[in-house]
Amino acid sequence: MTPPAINWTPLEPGQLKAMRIGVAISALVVITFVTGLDIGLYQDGKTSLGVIAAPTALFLLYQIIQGTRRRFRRWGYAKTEDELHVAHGVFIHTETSVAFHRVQHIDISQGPIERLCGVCQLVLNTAGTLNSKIKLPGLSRATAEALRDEIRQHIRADKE
Amino acid sequence: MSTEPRARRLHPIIPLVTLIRQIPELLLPIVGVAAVSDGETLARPLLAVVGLLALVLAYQVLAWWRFTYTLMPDEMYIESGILSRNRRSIPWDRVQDVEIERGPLARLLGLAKVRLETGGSESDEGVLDSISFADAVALREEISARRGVAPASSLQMTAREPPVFTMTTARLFQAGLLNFSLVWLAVIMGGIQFLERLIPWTMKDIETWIGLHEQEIWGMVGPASVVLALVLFLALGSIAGVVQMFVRNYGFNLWLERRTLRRVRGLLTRSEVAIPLRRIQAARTSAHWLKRRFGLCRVDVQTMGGSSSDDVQELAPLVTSEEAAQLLAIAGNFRLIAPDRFQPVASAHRWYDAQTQALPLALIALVACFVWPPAWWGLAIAVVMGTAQIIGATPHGWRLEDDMLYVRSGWFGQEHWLLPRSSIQSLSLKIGPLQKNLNLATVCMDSAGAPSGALRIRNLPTAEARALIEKLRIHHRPRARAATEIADTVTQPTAN
Repeated sequence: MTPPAINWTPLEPGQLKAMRIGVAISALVVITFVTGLDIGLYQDGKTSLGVIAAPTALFLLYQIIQGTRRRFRRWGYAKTEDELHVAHGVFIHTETSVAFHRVQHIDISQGPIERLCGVCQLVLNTAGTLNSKIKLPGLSRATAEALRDEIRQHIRADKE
Repeated sequence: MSTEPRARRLHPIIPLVTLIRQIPELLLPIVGVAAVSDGETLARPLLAVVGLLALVLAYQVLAWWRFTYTLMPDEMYIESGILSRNRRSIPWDRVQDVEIERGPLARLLGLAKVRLETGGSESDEGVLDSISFADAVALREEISARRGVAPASSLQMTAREPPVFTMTTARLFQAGLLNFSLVWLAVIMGGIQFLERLIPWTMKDIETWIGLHEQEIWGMVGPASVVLALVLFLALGSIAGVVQMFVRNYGFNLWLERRTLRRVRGLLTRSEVAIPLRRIQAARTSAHWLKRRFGLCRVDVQTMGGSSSDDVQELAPLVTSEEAAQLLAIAGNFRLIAPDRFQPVASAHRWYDAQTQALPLALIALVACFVWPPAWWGLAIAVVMGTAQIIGATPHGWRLEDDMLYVRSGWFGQEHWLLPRSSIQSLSLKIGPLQKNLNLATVCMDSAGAPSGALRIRNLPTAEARALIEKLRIHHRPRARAATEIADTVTQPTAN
């Protein structure tokens, strides 16, 4: 029995922007710390200036531009008749599938960065324990609401 | 038995008991106070400590005063909160059971902790910690009367029906001996070391006192004393295992009443737990290699949103395979299958852990050997670890039969999981960086109350993993009722 191929839908381009901003903020914290360390060591005469900070900055820049793009590309979702599939992860790639009638309740959340980039996150809560929240970020408000309403229909039909 | 709605409080001794329980947490500020006032007279830090204790006690008294529970005709109110009041109402309809738990301190003081078992996932939804034991028993009868059912068995009562499982003293002893573990030895050794540090004299002092020199002691070490030490170790481990088993499972009884399993056990803390059958999500049998030799195992069930923090409940600490089959049949539709029916995972799995963990360790140790010769120890450890990992990986297998998923893993401690397909909440396929090249995938099944890392089938060939997920999927059934009910496990998947 070969399972039917899944047609993955990529996330909104706004999500890439949101991920980049998120990574850039953490990168800023790291580079501030590393630069401080670098200058400190330079003043002690132990190293020459920029020997630690420059490679770190390059690495972080790579992460912001390319690393984020790779992560973004591995995200995807697919809605079938009765299930939602979510795929993500570069290092460990995970494909999760949840049947609509397993969903207990649905949240749509939007953080400040996400709001700026015009995306939001759909969270499906199941009665499970280890993976009870199935998160799908990077949806436009309209898509998220349409998905939510459709899944809600299934839940309602199920509970009757 | 009064029926008028009257706000009741917990036992008046509770503030003091809570204070005593809090002392370990208060130790840090107390030590802090003592450290700050170092060098001064003893009076001031002592005063500070007493002041702190008095403050905490006053707070506890206030909290006790503001915690009330009221039995109303249709529900129970629990009001709490010193400043912001919180009123919780628990309708009697929703109370499935009343549990009474008594720890050693509670028994000493004649107290009992009452827990109203509702379907909710919150663990401390209806907990009265604690009231007097007589009140607790009366409360249970009152609640049972209000729910319109006969009062359930209590810790003191003997049930009308004989228990479905009992741990006899002989069985407890057997289980304790089989419970022998090196962890206990480690705890004992750690304890001895800790005591050594606490006691002002050391072994050396004792040796000096006896008038023996170290050299002479070493001279006395022969094969006989090595054997003696080994025997002593084994004896200590066995005794510790037996003691632990008796403390935990003394008087272990399991009853079946009105589709609820009721378990009573414990030597010091006597606990009673109710496990409604319809909340059981999965079952597990576990046995280490020695138990397997004797055909013995332990049986647990996984429940959803239980009263205790641990959602895996022990049904029997040690049973024969026939008894296990009986218990599993009672617990749900669980049937054990023959070991030869398990399908193996990819052959690469056997070497996977050894390759990814023991092998790198061995290589590091090998390199380190050139710099620092004592590192050969690391190499020895890596070899032992790798061998253990290869042996441990071998039994891993699975089987899907009659809507039940069976997963077997481990050799030293082997677990068999039985998961009905209807208990699966979500499915995940995971492919790690190494698995990608080997074309392998791990399938994870999430279910309500699953303990971490519980149910997964590791290193299946990716195509097989996808096919399995497809089979495990519960297709949408229009007008299907609450899918968590065990009753409707038998459903045929509609063709897609």
